[in-house]
Amino acid sequence: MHIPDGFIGPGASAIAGVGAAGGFAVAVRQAKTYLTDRLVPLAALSAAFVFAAQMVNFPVLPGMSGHLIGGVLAAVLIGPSAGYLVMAIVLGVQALVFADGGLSALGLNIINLGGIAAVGGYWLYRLMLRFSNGSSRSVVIVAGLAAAVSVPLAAAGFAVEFALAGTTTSVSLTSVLWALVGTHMLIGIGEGIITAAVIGAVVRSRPDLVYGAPTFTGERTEDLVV
Amino acid sequence: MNRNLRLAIVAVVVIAVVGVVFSQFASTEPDGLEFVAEQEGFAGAAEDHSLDDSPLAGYGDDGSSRAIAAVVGIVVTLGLGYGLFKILGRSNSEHSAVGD
Repeated sequence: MHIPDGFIGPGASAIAGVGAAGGFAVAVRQAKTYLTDRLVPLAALSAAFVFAAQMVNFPVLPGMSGHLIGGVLAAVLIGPSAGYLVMAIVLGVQALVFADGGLSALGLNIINLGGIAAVGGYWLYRLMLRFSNGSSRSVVIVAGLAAAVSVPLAAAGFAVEFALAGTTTSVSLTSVLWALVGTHMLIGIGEGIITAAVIGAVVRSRPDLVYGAPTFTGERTEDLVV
Repeated sequence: MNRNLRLAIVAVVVIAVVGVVFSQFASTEPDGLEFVAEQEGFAGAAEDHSLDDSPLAGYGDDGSSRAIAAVVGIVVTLGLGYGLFKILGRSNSEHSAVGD
């Protein structure tokens, strides 16, 4: 789900670049309020995991594959602001070193995968966790569900950008929207399974380090209501 | 060996296996966005990437270059992440007495 150059007009891509940079600045300021030295290794490992997992496309439909976004995964592990920064690092490296994702589209990709999938998906996680008993088991299940939903949400974000500033005008926007949401709901199943598996493994070994879990022992920028 | 170090090493090994080994079996079919772009008729709008000629573009085209791409990408993201988060965490290091 990396937007190449050319799908969205240059003006809108540039505006998105400014928006993504603004988001980066806000995320840096927020992350500074809660990141401590003991969270640094998990944060760096999250970036490397998201990069590695995104190389592994899994089959979804005949002729179509999908791969992890990792936004909710990173945000639940290290908080939404650090999660946004992880997505920005991974997308930046992919675009600049591996020619994956357009250079002018980098801002759009950061907004969709960092802003919508990681930060938006995290708030969805928080909202759903309120309806659980807050156990480690529900953290894992709710994180998987939020991750699954974050994928069609990010795809819908692209559909809106495409409707506002897409370079191809001869297509049906509603058809594009539903095709994107439909296919990405299927990809989201993989996202949910991988996210639940990884969060489960980390919660089992270091429940005190998982930002989004009630067992977290550090500071949060906001209270976790369970 | 200290438990945190052991966990970090396990994590790095898992990440390396995912990037180097699992990626060898990755599907080469178009991803969701590419698939929809083809179906809906806007795939042609995609421009070539200006760095398409760089050695690691597209994560290489055979198994060994994919493995190299994975190692490079993992080292770079791990390094950038560690550097950035270390700087951001510094202002709070006085609170880090919790845990560890």
